[in-house]
Amino acid sequence: MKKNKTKGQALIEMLITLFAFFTITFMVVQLGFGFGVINYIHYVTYISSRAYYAARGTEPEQRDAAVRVVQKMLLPGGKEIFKGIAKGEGTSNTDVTGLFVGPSSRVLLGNPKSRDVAWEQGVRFKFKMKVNAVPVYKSADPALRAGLVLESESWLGKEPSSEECVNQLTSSVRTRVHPQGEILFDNGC
Amino acid sequence: MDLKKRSKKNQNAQALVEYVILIAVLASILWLGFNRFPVVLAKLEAPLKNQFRRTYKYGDPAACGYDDEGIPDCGGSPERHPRVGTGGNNFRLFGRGGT
Repeated sequence: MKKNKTKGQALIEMLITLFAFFTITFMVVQLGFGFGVINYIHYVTYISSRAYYAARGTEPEQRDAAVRVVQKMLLPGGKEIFKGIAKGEGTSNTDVTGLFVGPSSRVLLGNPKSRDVAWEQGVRFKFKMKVNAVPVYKSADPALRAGLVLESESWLGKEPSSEECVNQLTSSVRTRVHPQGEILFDNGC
Repeated sequence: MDLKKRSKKNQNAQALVEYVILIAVLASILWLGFNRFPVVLAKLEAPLKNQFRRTYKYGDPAACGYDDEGIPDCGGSPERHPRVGTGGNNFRLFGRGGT
């Protein structure tokens, strides 16, 4: 009679153990996926910045090259490959959500023509990474519950496009006529 | 009263006591789950939102940038950055020390 009462005990204990085991296992797996993806996104930002750096006919063409790298690596065929793990977030100046191509905040907030900072151009990608430290339990922090917002930046600079060089040289010719005008410095034209 | 009968009588309240203990244990587990666990979880997740985010963006857990105005320890300008040109509280790689 007493033995009958303990019949389901082993099963319940096993279920509790399995629940704890899989919770921890999937927590590690989920964070592993997340860290792997954000590492990949850092690389995407870097090579996108490299594409923006290379000289082309016009600045929009350089920008387009940078965007196409991101589209190819994160949105092949227009579909997000890491939809369940990381997703573009916030404003952008391109067709890709969260992707910004152009001068850094330091340039935009300071003097964009300053020789000290004007070189700082590249790519910034803002995205949201799914984070639930314990998979079945939602985070207490509403901001984290929605996802951890991260930013990957790469400011490699940018070679001037042919169009920008022509404009600058034309401007320098005018400067000779008007000595108070723009000072010309070597920017790779 | 023989020994067998007396022994059974002594166990009369055992089920009740065990039931009360079980309820107390379950109540404690639920209290931990709903009250303490979110606090512990928040402590575990805090570095993700702060230090990890800054390390990912700038390369150091204490670094700040132009976009970090309003975040504790950040004044809206680059601080504690690992870079070649030191100045302010910026530092060369591996040279932050206690700052």
